[in-house]
Amino acid sequence: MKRFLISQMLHEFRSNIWLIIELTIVSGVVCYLCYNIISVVQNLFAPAGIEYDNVYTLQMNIFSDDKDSAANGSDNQNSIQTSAWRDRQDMMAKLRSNPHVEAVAFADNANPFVLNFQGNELLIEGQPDSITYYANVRSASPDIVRVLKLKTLTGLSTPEMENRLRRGEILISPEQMHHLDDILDGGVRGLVGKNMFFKYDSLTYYKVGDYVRQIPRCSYEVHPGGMALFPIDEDKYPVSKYPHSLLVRVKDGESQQFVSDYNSDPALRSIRGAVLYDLQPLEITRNLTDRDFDIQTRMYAAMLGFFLIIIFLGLLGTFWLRVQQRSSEIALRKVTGAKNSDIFRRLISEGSILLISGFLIGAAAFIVIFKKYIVEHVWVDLTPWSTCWVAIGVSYAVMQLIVILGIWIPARRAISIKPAIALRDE
Amino acid sequence: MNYFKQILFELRERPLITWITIAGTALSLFLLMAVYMNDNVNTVSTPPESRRADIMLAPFVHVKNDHGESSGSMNRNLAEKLYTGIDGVSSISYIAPWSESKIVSLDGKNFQTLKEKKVDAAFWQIYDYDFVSGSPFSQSEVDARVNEVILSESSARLLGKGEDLTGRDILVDNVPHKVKGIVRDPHPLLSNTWSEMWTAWTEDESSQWSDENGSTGVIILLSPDADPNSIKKEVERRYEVFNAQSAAENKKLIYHGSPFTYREQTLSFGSNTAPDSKSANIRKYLFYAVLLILPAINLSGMTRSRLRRRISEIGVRRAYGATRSRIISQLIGENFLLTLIGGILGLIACVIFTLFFSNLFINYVDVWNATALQAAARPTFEMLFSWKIFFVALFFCFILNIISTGIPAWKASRVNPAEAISGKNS
Repeated sequence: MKRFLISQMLHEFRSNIWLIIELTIVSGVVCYLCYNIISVVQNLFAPAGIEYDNVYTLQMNIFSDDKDSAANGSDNQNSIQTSAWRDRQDMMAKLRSNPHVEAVAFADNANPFVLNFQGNELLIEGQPDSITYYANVRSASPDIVRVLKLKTLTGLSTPEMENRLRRGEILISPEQMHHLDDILDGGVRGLVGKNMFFKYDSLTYYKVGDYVRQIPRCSYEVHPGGMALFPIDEDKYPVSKYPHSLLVRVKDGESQQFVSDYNSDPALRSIRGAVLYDLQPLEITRNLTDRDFDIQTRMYAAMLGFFLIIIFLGLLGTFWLRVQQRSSEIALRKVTGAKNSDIFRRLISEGSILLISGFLIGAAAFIVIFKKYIVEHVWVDLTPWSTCWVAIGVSYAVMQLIVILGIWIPARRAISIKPAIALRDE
Repeated sequence: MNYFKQILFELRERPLITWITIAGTALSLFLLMAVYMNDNVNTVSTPPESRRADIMLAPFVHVKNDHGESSGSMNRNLAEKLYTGIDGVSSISYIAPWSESKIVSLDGKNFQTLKEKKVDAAFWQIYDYDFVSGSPFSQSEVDARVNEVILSESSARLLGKGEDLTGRDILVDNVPHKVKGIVRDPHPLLSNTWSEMWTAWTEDESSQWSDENGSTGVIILLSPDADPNSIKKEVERRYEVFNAQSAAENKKLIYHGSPFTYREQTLSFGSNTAPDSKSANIRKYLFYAVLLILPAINLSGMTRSRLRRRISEIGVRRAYGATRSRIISQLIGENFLLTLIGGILGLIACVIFTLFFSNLFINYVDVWNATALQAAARPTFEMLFSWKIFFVALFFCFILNIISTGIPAWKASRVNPAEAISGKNS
């Protein structure tokens, strides 16, 4: 039967070759789309480094009391700092004293779901300069531990993590550091308690206080670098004409009351020269930042759907006509004892052979053209090879399903052929 | 008329195959037109960017010197050296090429954040904003750095809560500014003109951070008969002159093809790279080819099978003197009608999709700088549809039809009438 199937497929070589070409192109494209969808979406399931429910972002600007000098573009720090510092401290105190607020952190490049990357190389005291840790440098007041509920990887308690930041220690994350596991005594975790310093400043040391999960730049991202969180001392942090970023954790279940207080009480929004504005739930920030990736994923999924429909229609049409042309042959088979399942299996086998022929070429083309050439030569690829194999496996499974679906309707028609009628027509 | 009769006959006789043909064509046209129309959203002329075809943009300069290299917005003096006084330029505007967020208040108690564009007087001549009240800045006001602001209609509504703000003072970053005029909101996807407020601006020394880099970008409006390439050549020549004069300082400007047309501006490139139109076009045409070839293979298979069933009819026609070209044109014509029906359905579906759902699948704006309003914006019907679009769709239908029907029709026309009538060829 197999030999007969192959010889019949060869007989319809011309029609089949077009179908194989189509399946080849679609297989390559489907592998590419699946690869992209998997490599983007898989990060959504990575453990979160923060908890953002009940967290709001706020901006704070400090204006000089002297409006005339501000109007003239004056940026004389000395003239405004005394009042500006006082205003900022009072504003922070006012915010913290709101009964619905749990904690407020002062942040500099430490807001989650913001795509800024302040990359810097850190070196480890006592280790050669070749061992570097490339990190997104974030700074925040120690309250950030409570505001974002940062996740330790060493079992340290939240108050202790916060204390270590208050003592001037830094928190680092594991990304980009696994290569140090074989080099350092005690691996990367052994860095806790050791000193690090910037490559450009070997005089200032920062003790590693703990090892934590990354504050994410977006929900989908494979982190392009590690993270080093430096403490900010609010009382010493300079005032500038640029806005300060605040992160506010509101008590569980009290978000509405806090927002209502903020909107109705001007004293909660400004104290003399300090002004708060742009209150926004962190979830909104996350949605906006993730939007690009959401759209990209949806787009890939839509394209995938399009190509699968094309294949579905192609197989449906082709096999519908084949069944029509072969009605007398199918009738003869039935007369000679073939069961419905035999006829069904035969059509599915025909489709599967066509799929395998096209898929092998398409998947090989995907690996060679996309994964090997484009990714290795053009982009920085952070996705492991295993994702590629998973994508190929998923692509095959999806396409096999489409082959079965596409042939299902013609196959049912073939099964319903009445031998006597089909042979009489002949 | 015969074409319609034949299609109606096909619909009655082989409804599934005919509907698959129409659905496949519709799906293909849908995607082709979705790609084409959305590709045009960023280049189609629409108020206040009605003269996009005649506008060129120069936002960056790339400099190499002994200290390394830097790229970004230009120093005003350099911008004037490179772009002022070029033949074929009808108007030139020097603006800050990015938007900033400003805190704005009418009463000094309630603050709003508004996006601000810093522009000169020529900006209002190049772009045709619709002024609801007031007027644009004059160049003398810009040169005098008056604190004046033009608001969008929605910003004025937000701040004034129904009051007419023209002529009133508002606080912009706590500095009083007079409202010079109010304009109708530009569409949020028009990123060169959309803003919530515009301030009169000219670069001063405080915003220049080197002899070449500063805060200026250039917008050029071409004269009606000017050729963009000759403008580019003249700018390139000026780059060479500058480099020759700066050779002693070992300073060199790297030319990346500026000023850019709107089409070039849609390609992804940075301040130190050139837009790669060639690669972008190859990618685009490859994509179009895949979207045309795949459905064409499907349709071709179905057409071939349909024609096989009509072979005796074709034989009779040939026997009665029909020429091969007549047979081919009859078959292509019939199929073109079928393709056209699918094409129109696809085009309608595409317009509906783009108007209502496109922002779920397509990112029209730069995710780094987009506001929530811009992120949620969808193109209008005017931005999407024109008669050109209709004819492009018709062209795609024609190409699809030729690819899918050409070979089967040519083969069918070559049948031997005697064999065809006797059924030997069926």
